[in-house]
Amino acid sequence: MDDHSRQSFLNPQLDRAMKACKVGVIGLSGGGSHIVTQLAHYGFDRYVLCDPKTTERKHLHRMLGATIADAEASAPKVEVMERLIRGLRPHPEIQAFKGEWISCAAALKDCDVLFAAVDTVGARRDIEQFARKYAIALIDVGMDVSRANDGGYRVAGRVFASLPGGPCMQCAGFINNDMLAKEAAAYGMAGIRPQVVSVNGVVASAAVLYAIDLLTGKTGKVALPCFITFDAGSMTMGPHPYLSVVTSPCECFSSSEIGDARFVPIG
Amino acid sequence: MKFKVRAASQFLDNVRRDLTRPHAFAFERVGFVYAREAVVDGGPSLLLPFAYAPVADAHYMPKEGVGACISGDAIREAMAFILREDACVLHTHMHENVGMPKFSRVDVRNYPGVVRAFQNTRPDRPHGALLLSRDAAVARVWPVGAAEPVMDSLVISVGRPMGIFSEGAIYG
Repeated sequence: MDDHSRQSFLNPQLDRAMKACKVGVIGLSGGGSHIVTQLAHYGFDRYVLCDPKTTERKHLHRMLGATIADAEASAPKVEVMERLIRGLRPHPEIQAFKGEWISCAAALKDCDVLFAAVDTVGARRDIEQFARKYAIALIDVGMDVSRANDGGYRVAGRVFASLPGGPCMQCAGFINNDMLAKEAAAYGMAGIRPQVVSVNGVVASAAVLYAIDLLTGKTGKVALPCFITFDAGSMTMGPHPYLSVVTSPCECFSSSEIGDARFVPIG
Repeated sequence: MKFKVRAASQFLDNVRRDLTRPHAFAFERVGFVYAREAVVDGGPSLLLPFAYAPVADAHYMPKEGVGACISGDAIREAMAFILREDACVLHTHMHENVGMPKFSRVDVRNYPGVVRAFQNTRPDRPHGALLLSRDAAVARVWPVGAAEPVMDSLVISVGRPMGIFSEGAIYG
């Protein structure tokens, strides 16, 4: 039996919402494993999970739920996450896909809230286009480590919520053609992608809180659009400075693009 | 076969705004929500609204005992749209209560005839009815070729707050 008495103050109907709402998580390592763990603890019961990779030793410092045995057995990350959910939820409905997200797009369409924890700008753009086509609430998380002016490192994380009709990542200046071009030029030279488990945890927590706020309407105070940044150096979280230039409504996606691709007569 | 109607809350709010405009003699307004159908792997059939067209003022007819009576021309305009756009259509109106709306006996009695017209026009798509309240929504969808609607369709309003509704239940 569920006992959500300690979170019942959020909304008496949250339990039912979590049973009806289908959540998707793309990318199950640094950010995604935190998100899945929290969703399961909250009590979500319907999941689509996808990640193409298997667990390796290098993932153990940031992937919640993964064990040394998983790394030695090269366990698919989706299996690790499925095991984690089943350890917390009595009767979850889980569709787990070991593959790129596009290979399970037909299942992801059914998600009402989609979390993206992916590494590239191009993947973010593609997932957002997909979410807009199917009227899905998308919550994107990520973190970056960059060289600071003083020679040290700046560690930052961010959350961007992209809702149908609202500003998209391009409206917010979070994705632009220069970034996509640079990424395409450096294809195959990404090198290591630094990750810090606690920063992943902070942004994943903010992302899940935002999803709960969507479902409960509890606060009504979260700024729209939601573009949050976390600076690990100063340990501060707040609205991203790009928010000041966000235009609304979004003109990047047209309602004519909604739904499955279809043939349209010429002329 | 189950259906999930998922739309941006902005879209549904715009429809609500239109449906609450006063009319010279009708007690409620009617419109048509047009949707694309998407095939889902292992899930319900997804209906994704992409356009809304209100019934023109001139297409209402006075009739006692009902909130609104629309003419054959209004139905024919919707038929022409779904034929041209390869779309599904949901006959849409609103009950101005807060909370779950409930289809009236008049609604239930009249929908099969309206839906049959849409099925004859576009037999390869599901069609149905969408009923809005001030803050919730409910849908009945007739699968392809079906004489009876599916009763437990979900309506998802995507925005903040998000709404998840089915007949008799509000989930979020």
